[in-house]
Amino acid sequence: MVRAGRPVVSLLFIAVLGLTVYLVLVPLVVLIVASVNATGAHLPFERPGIFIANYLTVLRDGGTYRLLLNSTIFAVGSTVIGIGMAVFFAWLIERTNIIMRRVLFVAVLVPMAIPNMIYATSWLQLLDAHAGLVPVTLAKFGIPFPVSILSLGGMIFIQGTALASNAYLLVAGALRNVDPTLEEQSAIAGKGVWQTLCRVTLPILRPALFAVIVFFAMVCIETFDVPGMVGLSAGVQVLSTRIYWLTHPEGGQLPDYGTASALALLLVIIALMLITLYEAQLKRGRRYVTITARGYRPSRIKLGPLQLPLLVLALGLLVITVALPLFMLVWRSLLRFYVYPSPAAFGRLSFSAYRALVDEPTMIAVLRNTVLMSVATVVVTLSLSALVAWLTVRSPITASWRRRLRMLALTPQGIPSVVIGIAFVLTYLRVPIPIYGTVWIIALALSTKFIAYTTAALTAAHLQIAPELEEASLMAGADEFATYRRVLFPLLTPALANCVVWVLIQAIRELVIALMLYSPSSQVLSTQVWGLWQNGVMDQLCALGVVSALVLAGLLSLPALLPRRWRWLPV
Amino acid sequence: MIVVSQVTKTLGEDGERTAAINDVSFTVENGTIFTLLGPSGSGKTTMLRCVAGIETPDRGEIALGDTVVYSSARQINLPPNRRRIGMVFQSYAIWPHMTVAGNVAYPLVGRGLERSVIAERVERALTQVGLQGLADRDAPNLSGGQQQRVALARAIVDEADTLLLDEPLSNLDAKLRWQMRQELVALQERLGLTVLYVTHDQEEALALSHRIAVMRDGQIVEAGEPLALFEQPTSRYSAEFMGLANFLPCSVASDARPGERAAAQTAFGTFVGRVCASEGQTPELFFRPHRITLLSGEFDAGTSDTGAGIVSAVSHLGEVNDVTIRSGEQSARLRLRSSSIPRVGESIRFRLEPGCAMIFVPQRVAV
Repeated sequence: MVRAGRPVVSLLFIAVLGLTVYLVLVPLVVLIVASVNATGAHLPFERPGIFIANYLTVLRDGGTYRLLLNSTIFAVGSTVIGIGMAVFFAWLIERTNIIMRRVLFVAVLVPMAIPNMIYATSWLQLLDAHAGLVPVTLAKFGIPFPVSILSLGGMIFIQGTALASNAYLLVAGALRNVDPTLEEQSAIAGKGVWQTLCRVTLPILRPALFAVIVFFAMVCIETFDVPGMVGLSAGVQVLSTRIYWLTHPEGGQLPDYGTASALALLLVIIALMLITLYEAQLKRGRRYVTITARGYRPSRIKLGPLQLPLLVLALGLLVITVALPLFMLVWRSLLRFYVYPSPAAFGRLSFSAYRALVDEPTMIAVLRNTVLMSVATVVVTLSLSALVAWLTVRSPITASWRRRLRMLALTPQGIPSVVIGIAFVLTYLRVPIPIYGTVWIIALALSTKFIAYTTAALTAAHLQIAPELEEASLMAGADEFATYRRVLFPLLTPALANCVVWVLIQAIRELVIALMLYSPSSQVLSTQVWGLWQNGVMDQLCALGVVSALVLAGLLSLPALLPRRWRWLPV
Repeated sequence: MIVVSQVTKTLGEDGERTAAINDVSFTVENGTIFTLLGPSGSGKTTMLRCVAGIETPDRGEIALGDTVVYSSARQINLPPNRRRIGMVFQSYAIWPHMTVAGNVAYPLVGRGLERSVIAERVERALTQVGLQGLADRDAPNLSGGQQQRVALARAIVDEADTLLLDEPLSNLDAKLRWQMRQELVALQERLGLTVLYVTHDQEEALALSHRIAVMRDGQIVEAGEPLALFEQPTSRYSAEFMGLANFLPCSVASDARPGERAAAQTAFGTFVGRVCASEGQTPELFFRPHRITLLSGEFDAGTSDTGAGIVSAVSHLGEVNDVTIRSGEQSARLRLRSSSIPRVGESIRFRLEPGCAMIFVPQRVAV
């Protein structure tokens, strides 16, 4: 397995491989066993045998096809809205001479700080058929508000606008990678702005754009937050929410782990198909795209008379999708009972909801749990993926074993969160490690989910460091571990810092995994928000949302505060 | 002393392995510069990295002085950090997160040395490479030449007597390259270093080596002292690689044996040279274009080592002129000093300096 006698490295490799198998493969295997072994009132592993009853139930039930259809419509609709907005803003901000570019840029990214649950809460109140700000305002002008937010369409609208800012980052990244000389060549050949865009820029961008679309389709297929919150009231279920409700039935019924597992495997298959498509597109995209020297800014397209209409359109979109929900969130958090915004209503504003949050005796425990859970997730995810990245990029392990480890670590990218949730429930019901019902099982499940992203990011960072920098250290008399500590670790610090922030944010935002694994003693922020929503305590819910958004905004701006001396490495 | 014996190394995945080094042996004497010279892909860098310990050979033995650092037979493979070798990489490999002093002090840190001792040795190493006073500069803010010097200082700070240099001058501009070449030679002499040097630049190899080994396809084609290798190469490959050369098709007596002197008849005239076996198809006469003198006066057709032809092209290169002459189907290049410039179309006669010609005879004829 190892090239030259370096027993310590091969022991480390075996340990890391074992841990990754334990985190990634064991739950999946348990899930597969559960899908053929658990039936009706029986938990998996309670009796021997293989049954196909769950698959028959799933395949015969017309509801399954309804779920598939809902999931597909939801994913396609949300992706079209989200990517459409992202492409518009990316083109406007990255490639044209639109004024107020910085303002637009920051405004587009603001929703990243708002957890999807909170964003959905805000919209549900804005568009509430009876008291919602929008219908009521329109009614004052005699305009009826014809659509209901409590519908599949409403879910699509909320999810689509929520993912626009994440999609913006990917689309803008792809746009920035297009070699500007290709466009300049077209201009030299006498083609105008419009022709260059249609005949050069967009065709070059197409594979990358398609990869982004597939990526977000995958995100939407597996997401739980928005369909969970809106769908509950709207009576619309998609695959991910159905799996959750099967394992958390209302009215004292027994959870149906068998059917849930079979559905979960269906979801895994869909996700794996999408991820295969995504990888293929990514590979095609790379052939087209050349990374140009950093710091180079291609000349911008002059908008001329289109400047004003486009600016109005952009600001209008941002007011609707960012400013309005944010305003609603803050406004509602300051009111015990909802009042239509007016000068008179200002007198009623108070911080009572915030005070209630502070006075809530469980709140301290929730905060402590959230911190413990997210820090533990960061520690497990980062140490494992840093080791995987090192072992798969530079270590003296043979190539085939390195490839196996990398594939294994990247697998969770294709496993939906709700599936990881149910797989961990089923695994730790049986495994005699006493972490069931604690924050540690949540942290472990989240680590499984996030290890794919951090491994990919740290591997990319490793590949940017010339191997000679490590070889020079070996030649200077340092061994592999001293080399890691004195050369690699300092050089990887920016990438590691970025990953820490990313994992922290995701761990705090993540809902469905925590929801499936928490117990009354291991409540975290996201499950608390879910509870407040189910109990309808809107003012506290919105106050908590404001606080979370502020915390996340602080975390998001951390990478920009990195010390100057780390700036030489592209992050 | 570096002794490399019968080292073989294959590269690539398990399925398709190709030999990067094939049964290579050589010895670098103490206090000398030994150069592995060859085009890219000839295996010279892989060989150097095997000596360093960064790459592990498949077979063979490598010893540094009395220490065997690698031996397939005895199952010895010392990791690079325990071989006590200084090395300068082609890219310099300066750590961007450290200062100049941090880079140079790196090999000394963590060994329980006093701070003052480290500082003093770093300063001494920096002085050796002419960088005194730059200790506190951030490494990324250095010019290419300065980075090169930092890499050199880092390689010598631990006072290892063996130094490996992997194309250290190839990233410098021409003027700086010349200067650094002089400094390298001076430093090597001053410290008595044993140097294994890798380059693809034959001029560089000629200028600073005590011995040169020409490499091709993972094997040493020929090794020798620089001047002998340049003037009297015993293989066509190194003759061509070491510099501008004429290879004129010729006829030789069929009983000519390698090592003997023989007369070769070319379209320009008959020349005497030493016979060498080659892998070519036909016998060829080799000589360097500058090893001739123009003759004036009457042409004596019978005289050996003289030739005649018609000038077909002339380029003025400053110090010398590059003259192409033709005779029938054959052409040859001559390098003439600026004082004597023939015109295109002119008939000229020349004499080849004695002892400067080699005759490469196909092996099957020679045997």
